[in-house]
Amino acid sequence: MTDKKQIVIKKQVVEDNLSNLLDTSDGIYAALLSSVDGHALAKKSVDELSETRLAAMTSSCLALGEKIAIEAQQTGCNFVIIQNTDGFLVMRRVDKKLVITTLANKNINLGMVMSATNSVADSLEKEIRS
Amino acid sequence: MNRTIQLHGFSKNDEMVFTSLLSLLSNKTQYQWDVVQNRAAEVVVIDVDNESDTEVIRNFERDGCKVITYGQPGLIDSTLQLNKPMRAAAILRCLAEVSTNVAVDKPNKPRENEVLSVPSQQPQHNIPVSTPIPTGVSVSYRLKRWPDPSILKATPGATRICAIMLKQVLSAEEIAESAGLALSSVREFIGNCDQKGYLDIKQRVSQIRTPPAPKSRSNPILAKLRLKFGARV
Amino acid sequence: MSELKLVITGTAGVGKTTAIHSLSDKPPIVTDADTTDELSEIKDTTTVAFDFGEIYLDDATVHVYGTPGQERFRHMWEIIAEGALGFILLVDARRKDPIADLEIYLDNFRQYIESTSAVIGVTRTETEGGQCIEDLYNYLEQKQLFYPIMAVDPRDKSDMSQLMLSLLAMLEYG
Repeated sequence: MTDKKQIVIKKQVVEDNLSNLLDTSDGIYAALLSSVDGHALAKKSVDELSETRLAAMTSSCLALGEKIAIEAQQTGCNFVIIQNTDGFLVMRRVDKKLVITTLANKNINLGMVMSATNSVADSLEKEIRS
Repeated sequence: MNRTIQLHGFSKNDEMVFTSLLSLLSNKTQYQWDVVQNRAAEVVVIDVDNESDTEVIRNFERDGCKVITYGQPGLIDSTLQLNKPMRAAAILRCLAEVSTNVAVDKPNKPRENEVLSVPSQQPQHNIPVSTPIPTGVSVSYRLKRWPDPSILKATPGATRICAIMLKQVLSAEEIAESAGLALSSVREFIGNCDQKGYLDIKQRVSQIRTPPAPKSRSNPILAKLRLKFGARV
Repeated sequence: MSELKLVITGTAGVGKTTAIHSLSDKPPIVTDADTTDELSEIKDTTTVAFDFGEIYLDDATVHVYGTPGQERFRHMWEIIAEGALGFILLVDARRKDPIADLEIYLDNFRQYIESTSAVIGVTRTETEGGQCIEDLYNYLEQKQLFYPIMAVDPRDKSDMSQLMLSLLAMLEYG
């Protein structure tokens, strides 16, 4: 049975966390918090970002990634990563109903992006559960 | 003994259609009906859209004629009403009704040629009675509505016939050729659909027409899928 | 070898996932997520990528994909529709404007449907279903479009089989 409890998280907390993510490195140029069913909730970005479409697309991506992991008989999908010639997108589920997506260019190490995304996700989860 | 029927106020086209239908329905009626002109008949069918003088109707009745009115649905208060557009089932119904009221010495046909009783409302679970529909090149059909499952299941290949008839106006022969099915199956299906009002029936003036090439894009995979989901052909 | 693919689409909650369950030879893969908007009042989850079912034949497998219903997942519609053999459009008779709903899917899938074919299944027809189907036919006639429309219960294998047979007939003879 799906948990229907509403998630409440302070807007300021979200914005601070997303700002921290961008502050990690110049290579990280955008961060998006969205719902698992594809609604954009908050973003921070250096330039213009179409968060509506990205939120829907990353939702599809995360769901697919988690399903593929199960099909491959692996569990606990942590990240879905799209690695491109000129950058990365890193997606991670936050608690049960949220997704954080970090957009970075090629000037940053993938491991750093994943680590920074993990920190922010953990921080947001702590806030949700408190 | 043949029975006589007269058409009054009919357009040439409607006269042709009625006469053709009557001829094709001859093995479904209790009596053999002859269309006569300019002499007293036992039954008269009056196109009330063209003949609005009610005195004409009374005159026929005074002469002992059984009157069937032919017109737009709902405009005439009559138990013997043939609605436009003309339907074979409705003609059978009217003739059956007048047959019980007009005295004759003996029927022209043996008793086993019974009049088909076509109720106005078909219960959904009954398979409708087939009614022959004119199948000469002058009459063509298009499917207005996809039939309900009881009709689809009654004729093997019905969905194939439906797909062909949905976008095109074709004769029964052309449909049979396109579908690769027996003409009798197509006629049965057309009759069933006609009773439910699923068809547009049109008269084609031009008698010469090259039948459309069979449109089957039959594909072994689609054929296997058809069989998997219960098709009989 | 090209994939053999059929696509089921329609509004969120119309019964696409259920329909694939009925058609598929084994339990389909479902990529859904918890609903967080007004849809959560009627559904706990919604498809965000696609549903994926399989129909086994002797020597081939036909894949049946269900799209997400919401327009924000239009990116998945394009990906899923590419290369499809045919389309099943499901319409919910109890929604406010079934014609407007159908129009969205006919418009968005038009280029794919024009080169293949489609059938329309109307769900939740317990009340006013007949009028809904009649209205949809009148709408199609105005657009000079000719597709079968029938009432279906996506849970009913027999209904879904009839819908599938109608689609196959349209693909072969329509």
